[in-house]
Amino acid sequence: MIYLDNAATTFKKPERVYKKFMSIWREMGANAGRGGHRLSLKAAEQIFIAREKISEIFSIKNPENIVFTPNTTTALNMAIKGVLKPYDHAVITTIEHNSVLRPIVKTGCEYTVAEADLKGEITEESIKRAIKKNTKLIVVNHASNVCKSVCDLEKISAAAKKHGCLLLVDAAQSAGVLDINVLKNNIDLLAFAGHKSLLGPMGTGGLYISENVGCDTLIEGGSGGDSLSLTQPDNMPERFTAGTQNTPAIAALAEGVNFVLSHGIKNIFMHENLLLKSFEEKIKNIKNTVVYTKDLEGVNVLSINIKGRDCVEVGEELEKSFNIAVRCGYHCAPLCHRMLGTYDMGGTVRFSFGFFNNLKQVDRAAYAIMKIAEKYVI
Amino acid sequence: MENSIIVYKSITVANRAKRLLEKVGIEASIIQLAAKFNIKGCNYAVKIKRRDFKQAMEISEKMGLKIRGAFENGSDEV
Repeated sequence: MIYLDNAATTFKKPERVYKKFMSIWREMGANAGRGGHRLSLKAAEQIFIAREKISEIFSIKNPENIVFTPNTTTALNMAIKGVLKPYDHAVITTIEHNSVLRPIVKTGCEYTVAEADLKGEITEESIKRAIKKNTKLIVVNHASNVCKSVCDLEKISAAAKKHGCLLLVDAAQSAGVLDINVLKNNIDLLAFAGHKSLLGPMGTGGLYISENVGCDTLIEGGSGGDSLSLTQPDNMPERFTAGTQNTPAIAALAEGVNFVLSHGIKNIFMHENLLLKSFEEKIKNIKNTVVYTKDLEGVNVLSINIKGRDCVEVGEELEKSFNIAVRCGYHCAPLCHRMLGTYDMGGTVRFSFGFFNNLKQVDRAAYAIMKIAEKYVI
Repeated sequence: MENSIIVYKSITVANRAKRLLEKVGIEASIIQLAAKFNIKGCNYAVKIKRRDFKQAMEISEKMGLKIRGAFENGSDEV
């Protein structure tokens, strides 16, 4: 199988990630921070090591400000519902995922969608136009999961600070392939996936919450400390960490981050970008094929369609005839498909490349598209 | 009593303290605090040699680590 669905979750992972997961599970599979015995303390130390690694990759000053979550969606829900009240206003963008759109709608607050420009980019000007007097939170998707669009965090965070708004960055697609510096970029809240480009296992993600953010809890429960109190402790990260942590997965995530840091974020980006550009070059002139956001420079994601073909059927043919896995449909990003003009046609066929893909696989995918498109010349 | 005990706000802070102390050569281990120390709730502490107590407290303060209690004359039994 040629796996080109890395935007959903990266597959495969570095060998050391699998090994770490199994060794922690087998050798210290106790409940971290829930007791004084050696195994529990060792497990808690593994989680702390992971905190340090995440701090390193995002330039986070205090490792305690990181909360591990099962995925980015949970992190975004914690941030959005923890910060916004129904009388607040929020700014979101056209490239947001449903993991932002749905919690925003659920809060009942007013929101404005900052539109992308003609190329598909979210600009600082677009964000500024959407800001109102009562805007409390600006949520931006750092990198789209549908097209290549990437936000300029430095400019957007400057606009947020100027207007006294908090900035929440959804780094589901960018963590591990784009530089993210929470201090330099003045990011208040950063939600990230552990199982995508940070190369950790599924069931990992996290939320960074800076000291200046007043964030309410989404769930309450056991935190391993302050056990006689009937309310959640106010210290980080225990305030947002109710219940048993997934220690083997979090420790394996740290190994994924180690792998990324040792190879270099820039080198990983360049490798994936080489694959993306090669693929784009090979398919851009295929008759009947529409390639979206061609003019953008961005991440490892490309959406296409073959005229006259249902995107899901194209995906099925890619798998059955060519053994290639892609994601077809709306990718949980309805506003983005409105922007691309694919809302009423079932979405797109999305190719997303990862560190373990190669040019031979790209050639095969381009060949497959050519053969499928040939059969349906209008 | 050769050991001192510094009780931190959480297991996370205790782990951070342990790693910071080890970086400057202070031997530290994490323990769950016994009830006899009279800090209620489940608490985690770092056990260090008594000779390192002052330096450990200074580092904790400098790094902003939240402390719930400190016992220079800790117990050898813990």
